[in-house]
Amino acid sequence: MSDTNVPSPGEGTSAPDEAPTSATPPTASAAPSTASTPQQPSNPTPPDGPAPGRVAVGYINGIWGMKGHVKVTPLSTNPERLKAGSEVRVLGRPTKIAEVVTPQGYPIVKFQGYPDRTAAERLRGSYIEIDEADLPALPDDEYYVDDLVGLEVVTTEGEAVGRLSEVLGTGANDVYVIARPGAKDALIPAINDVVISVDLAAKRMVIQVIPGLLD
Amino acid sequence: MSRSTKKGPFVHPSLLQKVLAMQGAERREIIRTWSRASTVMPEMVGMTIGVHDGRRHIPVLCSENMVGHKLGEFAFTRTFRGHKGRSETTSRKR
Repeated sequence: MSDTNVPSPGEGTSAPDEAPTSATPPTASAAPSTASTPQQPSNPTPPDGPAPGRVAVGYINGIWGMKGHVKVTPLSTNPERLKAGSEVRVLGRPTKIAEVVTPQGYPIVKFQGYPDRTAAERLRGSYIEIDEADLPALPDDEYYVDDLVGLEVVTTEGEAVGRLSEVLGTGANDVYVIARPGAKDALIPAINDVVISVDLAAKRMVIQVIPGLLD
Repeated sequence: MSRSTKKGPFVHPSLLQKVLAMQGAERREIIRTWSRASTVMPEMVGMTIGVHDGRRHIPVLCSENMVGHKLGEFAFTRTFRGHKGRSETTSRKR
């Protein structure tokens, strides 16, 4: 799956920082297949995730319309992230968001430098990224999910429960899935009565066990 | 067609019994239920109810703005595994 022209994570890191200067979309790298089939847009293989040092804020599912818009699955809880004028990275290069519309409930985004459908085709399956340093600081009691995953969970009595493996959204409160060796996963509601403290530096979460919680 | 107002909202009798029993009690515990069709009642506000999603019980803290909704609305039955790698998703403690 590495025979296409997707920039590898390493390539993305070392990509030039300047934005594309012309209206022609940037090619990620030399595309050998385009010489034989010039009419075919180059569809990059979906990368395994954002490049090292970057954070994904969206995933480009497909193309929408003829004017270079793409369908995006948001991977960010920050409502300000996908806005017209925002600077993000696409295919490893800094790119400006020209327009965001939501005609069908999910964001449709147009990037500067991708004027038509053919140009936008190369974005299919890639991530919209930002640099990790650009992540905003969060208020108390709010954490990045990736920081929570892997925390060691102990009770207020000091008894080890397991490791946090997943965060579920329910529409009410979030639920932390705790992987327990030799036992079923425990589901912990992310509420003040149960989650007493979270120490990201020490990678430790302290919970108050209420009856029925770990059954 | 919506449910007749004469009947009032549906709550499974055994769930209602447990909720009313816990209302006066000091001790808080998770009430497990398989009744996803039960309506969130004002008596449930502040209680944590384990709602079955077909596989396990998802602990849901009932709040005022959930009153009138069904419990099943807060325990999804499909699993979304998400995308690989680091994303800007956050989790807030309530």
